[in-house]
Amino acid sequence: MTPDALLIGSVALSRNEATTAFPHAADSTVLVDLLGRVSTALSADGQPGEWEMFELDMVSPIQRAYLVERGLMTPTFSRGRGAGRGFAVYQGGRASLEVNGLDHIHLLGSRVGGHLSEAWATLDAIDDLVEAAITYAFDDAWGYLTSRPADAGTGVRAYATVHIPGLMVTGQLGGVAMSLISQGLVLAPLWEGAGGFFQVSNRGCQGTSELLIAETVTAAAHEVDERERSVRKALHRDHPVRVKDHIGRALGVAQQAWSMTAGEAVSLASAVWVGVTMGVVDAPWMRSDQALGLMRRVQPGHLAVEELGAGHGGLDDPRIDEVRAGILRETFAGVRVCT
Amino acid sequence: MFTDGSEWQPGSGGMVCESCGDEPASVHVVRIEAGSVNHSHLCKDCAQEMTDQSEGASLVFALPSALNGLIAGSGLESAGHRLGRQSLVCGACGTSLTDLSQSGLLGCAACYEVFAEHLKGLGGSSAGAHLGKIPARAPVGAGEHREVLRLKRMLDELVESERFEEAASVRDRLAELDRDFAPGA
Repeated sequence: MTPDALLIGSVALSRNEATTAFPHAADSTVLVDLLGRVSTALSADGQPGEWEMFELDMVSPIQRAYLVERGLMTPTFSRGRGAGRGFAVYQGGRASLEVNGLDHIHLLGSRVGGHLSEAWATLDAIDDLVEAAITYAFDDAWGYLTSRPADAGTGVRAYATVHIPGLMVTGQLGGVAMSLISQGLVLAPLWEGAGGFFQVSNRGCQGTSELLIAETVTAAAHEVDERERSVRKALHRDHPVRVKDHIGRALGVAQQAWSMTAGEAVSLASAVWVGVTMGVVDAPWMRSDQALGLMRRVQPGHLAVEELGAGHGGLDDPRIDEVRAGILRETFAGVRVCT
Repeated sequence: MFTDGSEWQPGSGGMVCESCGDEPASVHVVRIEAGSVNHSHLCKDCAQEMTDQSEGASLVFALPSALNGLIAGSGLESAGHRLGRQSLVCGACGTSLTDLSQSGLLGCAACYEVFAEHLKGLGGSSAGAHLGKIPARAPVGAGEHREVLRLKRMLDELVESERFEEAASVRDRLAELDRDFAPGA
């Protein structure tokens, strides 16, 4: 098992109240009441300030994008609106809670380094806390009941993020995806596949336990990562000049460009990172957490919130592409391809 | 971090394979080519064919469509037609079979009972197999139900691997649970 194999482990947990229609079928009065009860339960828990709570309608598009990029909000929930939709962040981002999205309760938690069981343990405790406020919809045979029947059972989806550009450029992703499907798993692109970032996750939530889901997804992700390592080794051995040329060009553009899209920035940074792992690029400081931090930092929500601040002009602000290029120039200044 | 693809839900036109037009679509294929992303909903055979033909820079990967699996596996689509689409409605929330087949969403907990017949075979699993956490306020017997399922699965595995002594002990424990929770016990 390679040290930086799995970048992030994320877990999502779906729950509903037994006696209330699921959000899409309920009226807003009922949803507002449920949100109020959940908010009260969270406020009563732990230290003051442990939970930060928001009504979704009060969260701006930029903030939503930022939260999605941090893994605290799902893309689907970020597009929602209406009374009774709420959102809460736990301990500055250790976990988060979407209220009245697709399900009444949707808990999210991520850990750098792919530790899915740790993320699950945090959500498990919060789940017990929320259960004090609402009686969950549960059936002996089905398990926890959710608006999507595919989520019924544990209600748990576990995601392991892997970096597999080698499998992507050699056209092997389809085979990997089909193999995962046959194991009841899914391969999905992160950042629309830019830079070769993907997530392995479970497909079903029944006939298994939460920890077994975490173990299965982790094992499959490690297997995919091993295939990636093998492909990189073969590419480096069989096509050393082409590999060095590709990575060197990516580094050159990253060091000299003045405007750049998020997809391009992620692809370039990914190529340089691959170069570091192959020993082609001399930047020993660039390990998985730094690389991942950079990929996040160049996303539009992060650039607007963290770089442009209050004066930003929204997600379409043309300065975003310029600031992004500046970050790459600064990050890779002085970095060289090994000769 | 959570991908949008994992939450993909097909539109009303995604139920039949977009390639052959005959088989139900059971795989969501995302093709990345020359920087553009294209989505298609295919049957397993057509998805495999596309995968086999994709070389070099043409990239293909696939996401199973949970909803399509539900529709295809359960015969929900045909059941909807057969029942005139309006006949089966959840009395608690008003969700109809037509609503379910279009959105893929159940309206409330009671829907699981109302539409039980149409949910069979979902994603290769079915009701009766819950082995995970149970809520603190679970119905009486839920913990025992899960324990029985767990032991039955263990018994099958032990018998299969010819570990008969351990299997006998698991069988005894199952018999014990059966006695304890039999009606009138």
